[in-house]
Amino acid sequence: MTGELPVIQEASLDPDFKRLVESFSGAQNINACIQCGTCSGSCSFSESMKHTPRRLLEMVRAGMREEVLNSDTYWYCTSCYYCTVRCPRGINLTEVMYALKHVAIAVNKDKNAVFYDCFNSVLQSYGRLYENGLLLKLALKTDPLMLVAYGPLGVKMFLKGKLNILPSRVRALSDIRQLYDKVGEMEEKI
Amino acid sequence: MTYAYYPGCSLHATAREYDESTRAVFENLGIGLREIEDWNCCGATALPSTSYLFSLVVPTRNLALAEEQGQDVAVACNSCFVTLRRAKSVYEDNPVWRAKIKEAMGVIGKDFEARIQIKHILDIVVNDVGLETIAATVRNPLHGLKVVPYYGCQIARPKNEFAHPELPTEMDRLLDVLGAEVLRYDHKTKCCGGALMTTKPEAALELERDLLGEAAERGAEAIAVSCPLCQFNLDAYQDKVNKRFQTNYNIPVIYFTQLLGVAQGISPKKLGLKRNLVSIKGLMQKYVGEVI
Repeated sequence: MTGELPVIQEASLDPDFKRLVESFSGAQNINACIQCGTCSGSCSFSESMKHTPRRLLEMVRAGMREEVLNSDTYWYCTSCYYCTVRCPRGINLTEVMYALKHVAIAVNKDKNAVFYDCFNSVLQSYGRLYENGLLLKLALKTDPLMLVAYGPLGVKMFLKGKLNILPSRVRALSDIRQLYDKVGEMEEKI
Repeated sequence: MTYAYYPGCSLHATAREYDESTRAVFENLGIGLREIEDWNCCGATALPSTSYLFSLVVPTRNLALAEEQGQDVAVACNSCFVTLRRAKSVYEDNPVWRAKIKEAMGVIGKDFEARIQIKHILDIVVNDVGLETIAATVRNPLHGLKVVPYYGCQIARPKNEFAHPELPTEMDRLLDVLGAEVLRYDHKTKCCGGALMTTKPEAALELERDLLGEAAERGAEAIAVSCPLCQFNLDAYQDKVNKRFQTNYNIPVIYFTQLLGVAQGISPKKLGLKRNLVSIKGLMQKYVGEVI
């Protein structure tokens, strides 16, 4: 991550954005950040991101909503919690990233966002993960050639008895659907 | 002692050998595992993105089912472990979100009161059973098999009662008791890349190269793991790493329960030793004279 700092017009800032992020469990104390960069130094993917975690956090505080929602920092986050356990100010960066993923997913079309969307829909269909279904959905939405690339690995996995041809389902699938609908109603109120 | 066993999705598919070896080893140790009736996917690290609250109630359904069984939960997958614990800790620590979780759970007529504990099977083996007891069960010592212990990230972080967040020693000590030569491994709690292998393979493959590279440099003949995601990324993509970085790694990636089972003299079939993609046949012949 290099480059000039962007010039930010005050009128484009959204002072409520920080409060929105803070409304999520675990993401409350981002004001405590001292911009030390321990998070960025601990992250395995800092070099690949548009903005390092330290920088992104400051952007959230400044209210740079658009820039944050179009970033890819949180899509690189694998929830390894290195930043969280090392932050000298006790900020739960992993939860901040979860909150940002949740806020951004509707507008941000990073491949990881699409992947998570597919994961969610597989979960709703079966109540459990179904690898073939997930891969098929993802390929159809992003890059159908993925299926070709995964072919040889799929065959190997199948021969080792590690691939389920058919999905395994939760019997009380209605539980999952009811929970999803209920949560949908409740989240409109967040 | 019987636990409510939460296998999670991977152990019924890509990590079948982890499920098989866990059940075999626990049976041998006389610890009961009663699979949680009609469990669902924990949602892993994917679900908070699509719906934050859903990502808390989905694992809570499993916890409520375990609570109905009246047993503490035993988990093998690091990702399930952290996901179930996250739901429980939000429930315990945050009254606002506890109320939301309770309200949502109400629609399926289930309640969760956080009365049960969530334990990783490595914790159960090393701390509850204890290494002295384990030592007494060893029939085929691993005779100096050179191994690096790779814990991955979510077994130790963000925090739990048993493992140090950056430098855990539980697997080191266990493998030592089994007779292996445990090598230093600085990457022991680094992330494996998780799902980024599917969505951002360039970045994830570099991580895999680092993890395999340190293991090879230290002279490891095997990498011991406690998580299906770590195992899959290192095992299934080793040839891709080799292709991309012109390396020549051929290091078996073995669940600690498989190694424990081998040392206990459990039959290879019950431990799923043939399922690992990088073959462990040669190693088994060399160290325990076992033909698989």
